[in-house]
Amino acid sequence: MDIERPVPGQASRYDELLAPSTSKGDEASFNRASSSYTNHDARFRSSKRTYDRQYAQLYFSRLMLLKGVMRKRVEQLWPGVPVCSILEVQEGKEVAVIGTIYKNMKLKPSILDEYTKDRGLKAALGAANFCADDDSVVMEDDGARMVLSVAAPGTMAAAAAQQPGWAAGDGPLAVQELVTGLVMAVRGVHEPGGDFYVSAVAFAGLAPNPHPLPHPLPPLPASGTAADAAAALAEARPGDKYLALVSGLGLGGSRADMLATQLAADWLTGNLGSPAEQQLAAQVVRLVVAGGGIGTLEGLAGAAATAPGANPYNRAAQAVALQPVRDLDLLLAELAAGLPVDVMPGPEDPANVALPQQPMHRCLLPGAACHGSLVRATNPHEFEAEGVRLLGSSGQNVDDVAKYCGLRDRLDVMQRTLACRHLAPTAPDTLTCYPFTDADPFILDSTPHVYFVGNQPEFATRLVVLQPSCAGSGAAGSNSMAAGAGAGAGAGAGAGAGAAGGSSSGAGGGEGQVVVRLVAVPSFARSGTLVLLNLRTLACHPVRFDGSLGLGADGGAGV
Amino acid sequence: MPSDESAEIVQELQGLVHDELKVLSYKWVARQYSIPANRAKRVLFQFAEQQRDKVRTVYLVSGWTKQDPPSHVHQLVEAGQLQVCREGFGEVTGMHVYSVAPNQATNPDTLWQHTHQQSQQLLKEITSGQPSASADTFRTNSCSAVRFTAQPAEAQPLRPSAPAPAPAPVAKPAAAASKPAPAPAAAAQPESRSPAAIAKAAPPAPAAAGPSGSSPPKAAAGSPPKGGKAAAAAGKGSKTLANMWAKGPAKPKAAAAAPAAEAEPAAETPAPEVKAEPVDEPEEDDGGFVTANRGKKRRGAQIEDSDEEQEAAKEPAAAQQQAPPADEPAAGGKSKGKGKSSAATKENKGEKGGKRAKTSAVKEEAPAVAMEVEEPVAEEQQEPAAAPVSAPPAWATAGAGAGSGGPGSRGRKVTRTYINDDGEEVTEEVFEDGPAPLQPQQQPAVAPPQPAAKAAALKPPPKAAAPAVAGKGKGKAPAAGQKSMTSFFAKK
Repeated sequence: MDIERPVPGQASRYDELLAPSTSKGDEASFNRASSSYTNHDARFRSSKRTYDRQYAQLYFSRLMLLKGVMRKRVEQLWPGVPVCSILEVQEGKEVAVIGTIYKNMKLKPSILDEYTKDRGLKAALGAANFCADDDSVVMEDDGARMVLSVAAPGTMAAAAAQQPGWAAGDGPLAVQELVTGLVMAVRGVHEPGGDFYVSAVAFAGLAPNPHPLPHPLPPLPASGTAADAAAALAEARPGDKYLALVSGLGLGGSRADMLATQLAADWLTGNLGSPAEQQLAAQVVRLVVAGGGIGTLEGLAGAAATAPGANPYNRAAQAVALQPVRDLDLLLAELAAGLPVDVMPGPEDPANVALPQQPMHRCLLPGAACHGSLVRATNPHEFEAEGVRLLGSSGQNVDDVAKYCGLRDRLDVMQRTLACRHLAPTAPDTLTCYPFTDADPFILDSTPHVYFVGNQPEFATRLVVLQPSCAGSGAAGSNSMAAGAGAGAGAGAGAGAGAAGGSSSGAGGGEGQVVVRLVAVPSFARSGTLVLLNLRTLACHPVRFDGSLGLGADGGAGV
Repeated sequence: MPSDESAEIVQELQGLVHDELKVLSYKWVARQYSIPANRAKRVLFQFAEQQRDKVRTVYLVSGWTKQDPPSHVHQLVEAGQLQVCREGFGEVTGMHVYSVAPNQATNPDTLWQHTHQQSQQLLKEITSGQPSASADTFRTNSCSAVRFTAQPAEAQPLRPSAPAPAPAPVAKPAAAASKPAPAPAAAAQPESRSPAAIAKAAPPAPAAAGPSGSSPPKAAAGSPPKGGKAAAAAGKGSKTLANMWAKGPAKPKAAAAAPAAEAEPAAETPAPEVKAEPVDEPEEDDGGFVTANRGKKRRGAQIEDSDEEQEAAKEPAAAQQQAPPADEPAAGGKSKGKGKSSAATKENKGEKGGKRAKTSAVKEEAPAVAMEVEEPVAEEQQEPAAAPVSAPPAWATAGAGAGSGGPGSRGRKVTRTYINDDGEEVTEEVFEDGPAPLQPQQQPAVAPPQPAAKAAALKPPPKAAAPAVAGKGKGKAPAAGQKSMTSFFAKK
């Protein structure tokens, strides 16, 4: 697990503050590190919002914008295989087709189901996952649609795959890993039966980084165990700068942990802890609240439910119900006094629901907005700090993809969406989004150095390093450092070893190398964890705050 | 000093915990008393140790857990479980008292509720536009050990509107800083003293300027308690207010000297004297000067200073010893009478008085020619202080600062009187906020009124002094009051 470990030799004088006040010693102070900061939210902001358009246009423009990339990718992966549109596919000939996926799912919620089907089934399923074994995928492009089938033995597609020189691309068709809205290429043969038997698929692959990292990642040791490699990657140095990521404070919910929230705020602002801790806090150059600051306003929702007779919208009731908004303002005011803060709206926060979510309105945060250090950001939030390009969302896109595909690990989902060069493939199908017509801001022209997603069930991180030499083989990001906190150590070690091998072979190939750190930021209300990201090494450093007074003393990193 | 202060706080905490049954977190204490958070932790520790069995103490332990991989945790534990908790950590990076509560069952939520309520209260004060000292610590996070100054321009590329409020916060900390203690008079005082705040804020700035460099350290040294407390705020203030004020060429120095006198109500009394000596050496080229700060904090100073006799006592005593020689002439002179008259006239006459007094000063200390105009009456005490300052250069600087007078005159207008190279006395009016005309030799003389007043108050002995104080108090107070009130409202 490539998270930061304690810096040896730092433990001195932890009890400094356990002494009576003297004239000296309590004045120790640090200056907060500063970093360059550039906001790249512009493409997620829109000045004029018109909702009178259809969404079809969005799929069309998405396909058109990605088609060029896909075509290059296909030519690189499968040289010699003709690329054609669905209407041009001929029976019995192996071709590659580029199109948008649509996944037929019988469990997928539909507004019509409420009237036509048994509602009990839906309720029993919950909202966790809507995948079923018999889901099928359809590919469509601007001309037509065709049903995709996995190449079974005996089909012509399978036979073609046996030929020498056949490249697998990004692997066989795995229906469960796909979601509606992905743009991808398939290679196969149209059989007389009517289906298109797919022998291999290809994704667009990670886009290049916008620019190389200002500090090249430390080279991995050629030998040694995965743990050593991880440790080397994550080694912190005294002057390092950190970016703090937190999400899901959930101040509006009953699960809000005000004490832990306060501890975290105090730590970030440099109040909490010993001078050693304050030193670390001083290295945090910015805090990003990745959505979920308020979450469901249970007070407001509950008022209507519990007191049907009473008017839930009278002034007094509202004052109480809206208290969490004021709490957030207070918290942000406190934080912004101590460090720069970016606050993104998240699911259920008081902002528009459709992606891209626009910044929370200034008047919601009257106290905090006075601070010049507060940046109200859009929901997919892109910025550059200290030369590192970061892109993050509050989690809706990943959560939604996770509901409709079989990928369980959030990092896998994140990596898949990056590999498809699209942040929110399920929008607008199951994820609301603004009806863009001639643009799709979720398309990734470049891969950020850090991709973080808030409001995830648990902390997890992974460094994906794509060497230029590997670009043509295997799945995108085939060599990755797996460090899912929840994933078993074995899986982590295996992937880690692969990474060590892969990058040692590609050592020196800094040019064209694609590096991306994936961070799943846990919901703070559930885990009490905030994540520090070292802007030099891109290593993570979760910090947990526990205000339970010893009742939860045995918690671990995974929480 | 801090230990005295913390002892006082501990006393107060006792009442809060045992009588009001409050759960006090270190942050609450830090804000309430505007002290650094780290000191608050120590104060609470002190308190917890004193009351070992009578309070429930919650500690915060930070460190890394033993498991692999280690995780970084900050955990609250009851005092009883502290040992167990420490053993559960692989490496402890920090430990301190988090909160102290009365020894009885309490709702765990109270651990954060009181602090939260305090935060709400402070935010409300800020939004309502009447921040107290505590509210300023909230807004500027000045209790924290980590200093941070927002750079509106950089941090806010998208929102031009946001920076607008920024200036206010900047200006206010300085005012807040000038408030040495949460005195009851605080509300009126900080503003009335805004000049003082400025003067105070100045030390850091002039520090960069050659000769005067010596004085700021002195000011800082002279005022350990305040320096520490207001350090952050003063530092910030120095960027803005001090710069503004530093425009007057000769001023920075004056400011530098003044702060010593003004900045610390407590320390000041000694300051004039103590300060004067060190100051004069480096300042030889420029000559000494003292800033006449107007009404400034006269009243506040008197109120506050009254408790500081201990230190003050020595100085005035010293001053007095030196004073006597000057005393008689000065007293005999009109200067005294003028002192009583309106501030405006006082200045003009003060010059004369100053001259006269100067002669006396000369007598007393040959090289010293400096004269303090503003308080002709006070001369007795001030001369000793001022004289050494200006002594080295043979010419005296007489600043008439300021009380400037009449109620009609604007607070910013300052009348300066000085002796130019030719030995002529020059008087002119300057607006302090505008760039003052460059006069190489011009040194605004400062007559820190309070030393005189204070000394007088503390040391009744010189008879002349007593009436002088009264007269001054009367003559000046209105001016001071007015200035302060207008500036107070203007600030909003």
